[in-house]
Amino acid sequence: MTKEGTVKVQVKVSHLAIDLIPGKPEIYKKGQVFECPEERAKKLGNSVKIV
Amino acid sequence: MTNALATFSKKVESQLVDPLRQVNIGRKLVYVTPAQGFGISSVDWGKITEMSEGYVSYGFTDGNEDIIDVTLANSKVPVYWKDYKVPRRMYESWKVNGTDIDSAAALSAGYRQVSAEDLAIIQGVSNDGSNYDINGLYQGAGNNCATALDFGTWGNAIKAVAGGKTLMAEDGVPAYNMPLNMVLPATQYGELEASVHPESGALEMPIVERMLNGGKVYAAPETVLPADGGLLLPTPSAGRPYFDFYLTQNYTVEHGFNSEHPDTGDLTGRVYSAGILRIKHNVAICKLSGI
Repeated sequence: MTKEGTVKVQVKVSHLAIDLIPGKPEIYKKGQVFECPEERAKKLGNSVKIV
Repeated sequence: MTNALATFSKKVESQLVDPLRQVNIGRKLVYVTPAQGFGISSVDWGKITEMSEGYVSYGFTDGNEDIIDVTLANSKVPVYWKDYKVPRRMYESWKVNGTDIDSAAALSAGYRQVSAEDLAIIQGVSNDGSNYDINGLYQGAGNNCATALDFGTWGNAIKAVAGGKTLMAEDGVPAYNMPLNMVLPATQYGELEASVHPESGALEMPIVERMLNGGKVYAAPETVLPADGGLLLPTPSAGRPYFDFYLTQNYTVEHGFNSEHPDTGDLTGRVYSAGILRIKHNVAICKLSGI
């Protein structure tokens, strides 16, 4: 289950740095799955896959 | 007739090459191979999918053989082109009197052709505008620094470059020791150029340039790079092992007649080039999204 307005995405690039909490960037590695606002996920393009 | 047309084409081509080189951005970002020949319609190359660690010891030992994991890729080589018309009387006048050729139409077509090539190198080749048959530098980037760093705020460009270098270094790309180029959409380039620290008055651009170890910041039209996306990548000389542009045909101009009116019809001109971006190790390219 995901929160409303969010989706689970899987990282497709080697490393993805993203600040889901403003000012607190995190680095996700290829294959890792995390929850992300849908709008933000769309902007990540082919760097992630919605799972 | 054919010789005169060929000479005319060469004359127009000579007027086109320098202006086209100046406006082209894609070829300034990647190593360009010598032209391999227009007849080459596809190319094979190896993509490095995993690079293992090196070894240190006081002598060479057996059993440490390591294989760089390579997958073979094959792609058709696209052609970038644009057609235009040359008024017949201008051509006849050049033939009889050697009148200067007005190459404005050809140059205008050439700019469109360069724009198509830039799009292919920077974004990729797409038939429907969303799915890419061949990835360019942006679509094919192996790292993505997607932290929200609006370049309108002083310090964010510095953070974006530092963030991109960190991701590349994580993959073993010596980003701290190699010259890097940064490509920005025109809006973000303008913001960086005008970015001045509110208290100290320090310009941000020179700091960013120092972080690029001798590389440069380029502006790309927003038709080529999306408004909130940039790129960080090694300069062509340093990036050659990671990616290159396999050129099969350099800028070329040709002219022909309409067969319905062989003596009076306008000339049809075409400016074209052909080549393909080969990304061999995509982790050396970092996308900067959200800038």
